Amino acid sequence: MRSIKEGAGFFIAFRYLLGRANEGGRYLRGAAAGIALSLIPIIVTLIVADGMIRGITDRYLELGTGHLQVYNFTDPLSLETAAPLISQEEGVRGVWAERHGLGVLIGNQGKTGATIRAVERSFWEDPGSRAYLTVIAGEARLQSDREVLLGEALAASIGAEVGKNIRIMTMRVTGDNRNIPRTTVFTVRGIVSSGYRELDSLWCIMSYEAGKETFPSKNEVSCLIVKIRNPYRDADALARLLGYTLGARYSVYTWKELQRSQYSSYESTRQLLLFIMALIVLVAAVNVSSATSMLAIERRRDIAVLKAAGASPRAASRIFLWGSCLTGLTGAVIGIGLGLAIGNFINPLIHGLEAVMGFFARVFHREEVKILDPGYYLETIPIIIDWTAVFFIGLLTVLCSVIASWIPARRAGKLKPLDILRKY
Amino acid sequence: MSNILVQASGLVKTYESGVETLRILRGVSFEVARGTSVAVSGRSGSGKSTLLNILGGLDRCDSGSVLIGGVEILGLSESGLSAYRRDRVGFIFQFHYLLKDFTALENVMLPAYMAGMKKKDAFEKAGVLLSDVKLDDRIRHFPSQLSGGERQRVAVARALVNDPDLILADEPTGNLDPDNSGMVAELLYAAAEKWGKTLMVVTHDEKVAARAMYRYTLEGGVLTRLTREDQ
Repeated sequence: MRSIKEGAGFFIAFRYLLGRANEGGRYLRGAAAGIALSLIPIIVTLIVADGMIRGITDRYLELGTGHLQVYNFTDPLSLETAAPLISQEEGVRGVWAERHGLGVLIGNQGKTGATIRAVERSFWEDPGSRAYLTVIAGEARLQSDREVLLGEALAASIGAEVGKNIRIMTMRVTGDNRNIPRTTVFTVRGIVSSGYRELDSLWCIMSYEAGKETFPSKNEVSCLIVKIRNPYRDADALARLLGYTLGARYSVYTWKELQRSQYSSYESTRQLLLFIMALIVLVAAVNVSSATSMLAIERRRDIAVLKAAGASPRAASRIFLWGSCLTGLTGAVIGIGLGLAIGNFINPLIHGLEAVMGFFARVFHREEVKILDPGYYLETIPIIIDWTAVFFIGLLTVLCSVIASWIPARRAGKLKPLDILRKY
Repeated sequence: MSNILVQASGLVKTYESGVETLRILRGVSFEVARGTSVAVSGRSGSGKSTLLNILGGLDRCDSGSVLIGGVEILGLSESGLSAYRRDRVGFIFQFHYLLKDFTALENVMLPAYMAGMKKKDAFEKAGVLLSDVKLDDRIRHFPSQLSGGERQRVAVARALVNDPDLILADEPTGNLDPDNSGMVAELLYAAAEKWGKTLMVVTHDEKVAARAMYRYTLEGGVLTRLTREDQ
């Protein structure tokens, strides 16, 4: 026996979707609009969340850990010798040696503990570092080994100013394992901001040479910071390659390992947000189910005629499943399209909103409104589109629409043609 | 192949109406040869449409047997009945029952397209059939843009599109004025003859019935063949 062709079901369903406003088509179009509206915030959230995670991560990586870090735990002081070998690798943007340790900074107005980072000077001149480091006062270029850069919050906490001296107290371990405090005077060359208060309140930056002098012990942390061209794609592969090239004495860590806790926290926040948004899509999919029911009620006579002409119950059901599939697809295409459009213009939209809110705030409170505070956050959200996620969101939306319409479609297929034809 | 297409015997159909049991068909038996036309007349409620619906696999009877081309249709499952209606029967109802979102051409091609014919071929065949019922110039019109007679002519073309053995017409001219009624009846008989189909018409209209080769009357649940003298 010949089976009812799928194409006919699609043909009829498509016509129903485009049907006139006073027919069942309006239910499907309404449901498609509901899906579209529910998808817009999901796509915008996806773009904004990914953009913010990328922006925040980039800032941390470019100013802090770099994309890879290379350690030599057996002979940390000779670590720099590996730098030329690393630089030769394809995809490596730069290699800088760093030593860091803890110290107490003493200024005119107080003292506080800080992380002292001694990095090769050219690190701060790298375009990646320059893009994210804001100079608040002075300049970010260290001219001598007796100069330091201070984080904005750190400088404020000890009352440090550009051109003035501060003292840094570190501990030196003697041959007989005694800790002896050592104080060195440095001049503040510049006050800088990483954009994050927690980093700005901790960082004291000096030259690598000064660091070797300040932290002469093998026990202080030494590493090579490596920046690469595509950290999101190539970090793992380059880490493996460097591990092989440098040999067993060296350990190579990727930024994902170094920032694991922070990165997973961002990821879980993003996933939670998307999950909550997905609930809205589920509600919209249920709406498709009720639209399919309404369509089936309005088109009972059509079902009866088609069944009288030989359509099987399954074939009649398929018409409505195609209807819900097309509804889901239309809603998904429109919703994702609008979401992508809004997501792409999220920065001007936010700045426009800031301007409007700022206007009203000035009218009532005379205070400026900043949604994205450039001092401590991202001034511009990078536009990152995760096409795989977008594809799966669209696919799941269509699937949910079809599954939600399964029961009304089956019910429509089971209608007895004669019972209906007698009523008309 | 036997020349008999329809073989019905001992058809009994009852309806429960409150406490009363209505015996609509009381052991109806008859045969219809291939390529012939049969008209069934009778008063309203005499069971003419019920008989047609049973033959078309839309309704079931309490007992009896219906062989269509030698196949017993009363024992068929739902899907078997669907396939039977799709492949062997063409229906024409009193009301045209055209799908309002589809043009005349699409209404005619849909049963063929659903039955597995290629879309292009289905459109082509629908065009030929609409030409047979003299609607060449109306094929792109929607049902709402057609007159009552034109809609019924589209329904005639639709009934023929799957090349069925048997055409069942239930009061095909019941909703039409005399002029249109005569035209539709003429086209229906002519199309059935042209394509060699067996036609069974239930009608009140004496003129429509008179055009058939054989005539029956259904009264009190009993089907009686009318002779030339009775007519």
